[in-house]
Amino acid sequence: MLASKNGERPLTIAVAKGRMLAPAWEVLRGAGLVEGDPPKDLLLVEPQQPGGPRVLIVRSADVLTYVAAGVAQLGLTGKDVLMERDPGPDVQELADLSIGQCRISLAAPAGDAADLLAPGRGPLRIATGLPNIARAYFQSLGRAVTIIPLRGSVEIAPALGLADGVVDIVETGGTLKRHGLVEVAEIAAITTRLIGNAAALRATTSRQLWPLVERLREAGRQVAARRGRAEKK
Amino acid sequence: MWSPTTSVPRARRELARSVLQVLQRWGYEEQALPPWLDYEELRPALHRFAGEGCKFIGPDGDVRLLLPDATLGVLTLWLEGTWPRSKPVRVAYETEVYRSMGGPWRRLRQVGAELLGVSGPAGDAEVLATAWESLQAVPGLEATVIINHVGIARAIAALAARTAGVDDADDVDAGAEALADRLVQTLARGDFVTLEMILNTTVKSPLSEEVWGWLTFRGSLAEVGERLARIPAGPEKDEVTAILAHLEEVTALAGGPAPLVDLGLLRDLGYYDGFVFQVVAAGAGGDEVVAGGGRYDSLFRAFDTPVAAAGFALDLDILTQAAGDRLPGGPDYVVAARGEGPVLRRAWEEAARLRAKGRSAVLLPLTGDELGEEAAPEGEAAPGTAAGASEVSIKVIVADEKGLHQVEPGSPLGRRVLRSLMDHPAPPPAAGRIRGQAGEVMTDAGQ
Repeated sequence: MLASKNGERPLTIAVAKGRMLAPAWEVLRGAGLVEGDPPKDLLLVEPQQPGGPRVLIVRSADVLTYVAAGVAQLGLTGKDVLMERDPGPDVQELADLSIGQCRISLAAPAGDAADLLAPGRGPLRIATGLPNIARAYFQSLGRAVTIIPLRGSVEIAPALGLADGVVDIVETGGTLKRHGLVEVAEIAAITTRLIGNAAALRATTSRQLWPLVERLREAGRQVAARRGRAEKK
Repeated sequence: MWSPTTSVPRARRELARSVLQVLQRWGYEEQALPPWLDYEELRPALHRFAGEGCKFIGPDGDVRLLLPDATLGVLTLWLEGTWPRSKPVRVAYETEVYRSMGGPWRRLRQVGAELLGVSGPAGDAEVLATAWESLQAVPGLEATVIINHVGIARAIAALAARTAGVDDADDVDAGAEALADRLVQTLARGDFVTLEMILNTTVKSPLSEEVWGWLTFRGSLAEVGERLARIPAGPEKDEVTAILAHLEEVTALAGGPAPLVDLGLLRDLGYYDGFVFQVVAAGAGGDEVVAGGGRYDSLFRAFDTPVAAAGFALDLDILTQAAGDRLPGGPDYVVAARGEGPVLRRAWEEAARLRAKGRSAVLLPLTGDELGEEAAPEGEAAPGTAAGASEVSIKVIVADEKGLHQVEPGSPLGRRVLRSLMDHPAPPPAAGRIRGQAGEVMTDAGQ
């Protein structure tokens, strides 16, 4: 077990609440770190076994904040969070856990999608909850763009005339379809990543760290495969 | 912490003073660093600070940068010819630096040292030893020293690239160099997912697994030595062998605790180019880097003034926080006046007399209920005696109509006086935690 260097404080693992909590909990359980089902209303789950970690359940973006600050030594968060907010030197990206598979896509109203990126088209207005990723994407295309940052319900923006298109996280595409949007381009494939606080990890040895990372990664693969099979059924 | 009004700045200042005293014993002279830099002049050295630094326009229209890093301040002074270039220079400093660090701008308070003109193991060991000795100014600090040498990762990455199948046969060397550079940059970012992907899909070397083991290694120097046997003979092995001998000599000279080696500890690659180290300690929230440093000869070489250069900086804010109650705080004396008129004057004069003797003394007029002598309720003990606090030396003097009395801080009256001075309730004083002599003995006559 990777121990926290911080006195008697147990190792703390931060995970994202919401739709990602169930698969993340499955991964932790598969790695032998927790038992049972994820709690419904707890934010901090104390160790369930001697030497076990405590689990902090917070918003996905806040997982990065807690790990960067060293309050949590490890965290499970989406690659989108790491792409949107430069994690800096305080955070290390340790493993791709294979769960939470989705993508960041550029989407536009069905009637306009084919011409959205056509040469000669004027500056685009793009609504998104991921302004840094969107800006970097259009910069890579050499396209002028006005980014309209939104905190949620991004997909409604084109229908109301706020934007020409959206950059958003797409899981099945169902939400886009319901709002009359189609994907124009996939910007990045997203999965859940295991991240760690660099200072805390530096004070550990390879023998302590990498076996635990491998256990979590293997558990992630199994959970992803199980969930993939369940979806096919 | 003794009181919200005594402390963090004072504790930080005393910590900095202790560190500067350590450095003075090693021959480092304190130097004031410039508060800002000429952005254009230092552009070749700015690297990440170009994006993270706090830039502003000076009255002459030139772009300035609030000091983002103490070494750049020393570099500026070096370029201005502050010191002779033919002799070793030992500079100590206490300064503030400003960076955005991926978010809002932050002010960091640092104390540290720069050693110019001393190369090899002697220079690296001196920087490590002075950093460790400086950290002893924080009583009870539990810390781990992590070391590395940038050359190891470069050599191992070069080995991976040399044994990889580079597609462009006409440009094998350039391809291998670019691939090695990509591996090192990825490792420096702490992105092990991409690192593994590059090794498995781009490098595809028969040594990929071994290279992964090296680049993700954290352990003792002896374990690094054991790993050496696993890599094939060649220039990379010779390079790592030489670096390992260097690190062994550095750590033997520097003394202190046995360090861990983290081959992923590369710090800012555009800046550090040799021996690097960090010290990690338990902070208020989690593990934090309290000190870091290393060698950066190439930084000075970039300005056509080649000189061996190494140094370190301690983060004063984190260290002060980590030290918590262990750092001194609070006044030497509290002089309480149990009355007005002549009693208050008596207390006032006593406090003035103590201050004239170089002691700190707080005058505390007691009013209303505070005048009473009854014991404080159970569980409401003297503040400043928080669990884990080291011995606190404070003397309580009470002035009343009969004269001046020194009272035991743990006595009911002493506790009442201290509770009047500060708000923080704390557990009852443990025996020996608070020093003070009861009785009607006058204060520190003869001290």
